[in-house]
Amino acid sequence: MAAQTALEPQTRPGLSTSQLIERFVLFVALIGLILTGLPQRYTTEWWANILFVLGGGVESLRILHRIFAALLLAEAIYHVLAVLYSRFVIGQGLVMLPGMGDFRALLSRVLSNFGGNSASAPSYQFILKFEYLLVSLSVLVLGITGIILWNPIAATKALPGAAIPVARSVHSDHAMLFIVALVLLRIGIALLWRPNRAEIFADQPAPALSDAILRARRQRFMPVLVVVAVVLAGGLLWYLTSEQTAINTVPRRESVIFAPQALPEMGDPHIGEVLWGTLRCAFCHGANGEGGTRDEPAIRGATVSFAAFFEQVRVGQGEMPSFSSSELPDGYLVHLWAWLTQPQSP
Amino acid sequence: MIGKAKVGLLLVGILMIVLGMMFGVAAAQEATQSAEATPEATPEVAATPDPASDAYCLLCHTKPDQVWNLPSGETLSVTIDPAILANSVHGASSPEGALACSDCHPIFRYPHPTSLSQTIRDFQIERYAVCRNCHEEQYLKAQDSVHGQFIREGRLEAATCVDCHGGHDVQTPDEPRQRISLTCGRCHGVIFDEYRSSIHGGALLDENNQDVPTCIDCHGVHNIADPTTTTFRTGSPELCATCHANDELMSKYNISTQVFDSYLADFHGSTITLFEHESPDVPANKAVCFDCHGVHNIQKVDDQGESSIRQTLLTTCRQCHPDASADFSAAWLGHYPATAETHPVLYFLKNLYNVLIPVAIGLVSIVIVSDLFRRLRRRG
Repeated sequence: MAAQTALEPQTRPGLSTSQLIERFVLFVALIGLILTGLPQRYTTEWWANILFVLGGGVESLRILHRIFAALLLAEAIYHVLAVLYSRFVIGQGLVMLPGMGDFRALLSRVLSNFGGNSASAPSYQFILKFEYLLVSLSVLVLGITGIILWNPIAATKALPGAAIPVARSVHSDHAMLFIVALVLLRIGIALLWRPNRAEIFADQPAPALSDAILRARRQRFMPVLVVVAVVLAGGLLWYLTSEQTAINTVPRRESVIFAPQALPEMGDPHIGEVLWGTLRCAFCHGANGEGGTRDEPAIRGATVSFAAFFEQVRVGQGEMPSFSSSELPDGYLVHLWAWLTQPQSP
Repeated sequence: MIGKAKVGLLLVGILMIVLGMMFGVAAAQEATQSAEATPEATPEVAATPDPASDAYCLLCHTKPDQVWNLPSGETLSVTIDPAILANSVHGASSPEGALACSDCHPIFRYPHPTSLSQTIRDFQIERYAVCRNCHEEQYLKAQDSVHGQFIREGRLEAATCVDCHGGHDVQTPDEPRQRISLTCGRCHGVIFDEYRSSIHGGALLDENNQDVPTCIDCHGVHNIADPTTTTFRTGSPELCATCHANDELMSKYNISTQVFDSYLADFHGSTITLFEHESPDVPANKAVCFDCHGVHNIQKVDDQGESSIRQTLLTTCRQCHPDASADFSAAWLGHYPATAETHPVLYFLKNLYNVLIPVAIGLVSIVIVSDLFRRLRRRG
């Protein structure tokens, strides 16, 4: 889409070699971005699953998306430099950007299609300008939001943290807007309107300049162009590769798995009460430790020391059997003792 | 005349002999019956219970201080209170009827066969397979579990059936519901203490809340999988979603009902979900629920102030994003959708594109339709 220059070979009417390459790169980048981006928005759809599999999984698909994004950004940088060259060396104006005249032409064309004299209506060249505007703005919006998402750590050093979800939402929604509008425009351009791009440049031709003037302008512009290109491309490359957003492996937590309950410093009477209801102690000593039906003693409210209670349980006494630590862990005994010896309300 | 007298005397004599014989037989019969009614007259014979009956076992095993001294020096009490078994789930209340001693101890006729067990634990490992006789499904699941795997590897401290359910005193394992976590806590004491202090554990143990998860709700009950694997981690959001995606349940506790959906919509959640569907055993360095909320020590987020929540969140983010700036945590909007009050910019932009996209489609469509209309007019 760069302006034609008098010194570039013509391989196709209206498009130079560099322009053809630009179009091809743009086409490849957009197709790649669409195929790798849509599944990330619609992760649960069946077709998205196919694309994930073809892409080698979600992580690989995201890497591919970044590769195509880098390709598009590189093409965008080249295009900006080409337009600057066209503007400051060739003297060609920014003819592909739509102006008020193009909006009037659009309105006039539509009205004449519906009911006026379409023979005198403007031709559809303005469609190409609107398409150019759509692509340019979309690359700008998607590029900025994409860079924020690519490097969230760096982005949030300069922007508030809320910029991340905003960038994600805008990136996703604008991509949908771009895809839908571009597809419809291309359908109309290819099947219906068939606008002639050359006519746009024919209407606003570049001034005729001598070779000497062109050479002089080029000598002044090219060094600046090279420096700007190196800075932009190098800076972008550095920015996109310098950040490690997250560590590769989520840190493992250390946890003690097998740990038979040790003696807590303070027994929990509440746990003791719950335990009493789950163990068979209540079978003999009553549901509330009030004593059993076979003359088992009441033990709730007892003033026995923990050591004595512990020994009684472990060794047994009289009719009461002993209970090993595998039946009643030490930790259980502390909670039980805390509940049994807890002062009761009058 | 003397002849008639002799005949008379003879007849009287015969009569007396006959009468005497009759009385003698009757007396002998009576003596015999009397002898049969007084066994002390015969030698005593002690009654031995049938070896297949519980009474046979309980002859010894109800005596106090019955112990088995193992080669390791440990002493195992083998005194049994039959009432304990009778009041367990294997007692009379069992639908299949009460279990007999021989149902679980089939070859223990006295004298008992020598056991090769060196320790009490050896004996427990040796004997717990008897549970399979009636509970084969649960037994096989337990063999496939992490506990079964550890036992096969020689880590005998891993739980067997009797460690969780008991031996003679088996009760319904989830009545009360606190019993579940208390049972697991016998071996996993550190984890139990963490759970005890969590929002879930506190509600269960203090309030008997029936809605909060116990150990088995997240880890399973017999087929407990290894929770340290990548597969478990990748599938863990689905576990949390069991409750936290339940609108009715969450509304009872004023918890966002979009917790799970908001996680899925986020970068972390969408990635983990894709990994879980495609390759659950491949490690993913994206956060799951417990990376931010904790594993067993989950606390209520609202208990902290806003600034404290943000600082805690930043600390959490920096576990994986060590270079994150102070405001990085603001990138997480929480489990609530953006509103005009909470996130006005995001809310506005989302609604803007909800308008822009249809407008763009509409505008291009108008141009296309107008051209088609022109062509139709021209043909007509």
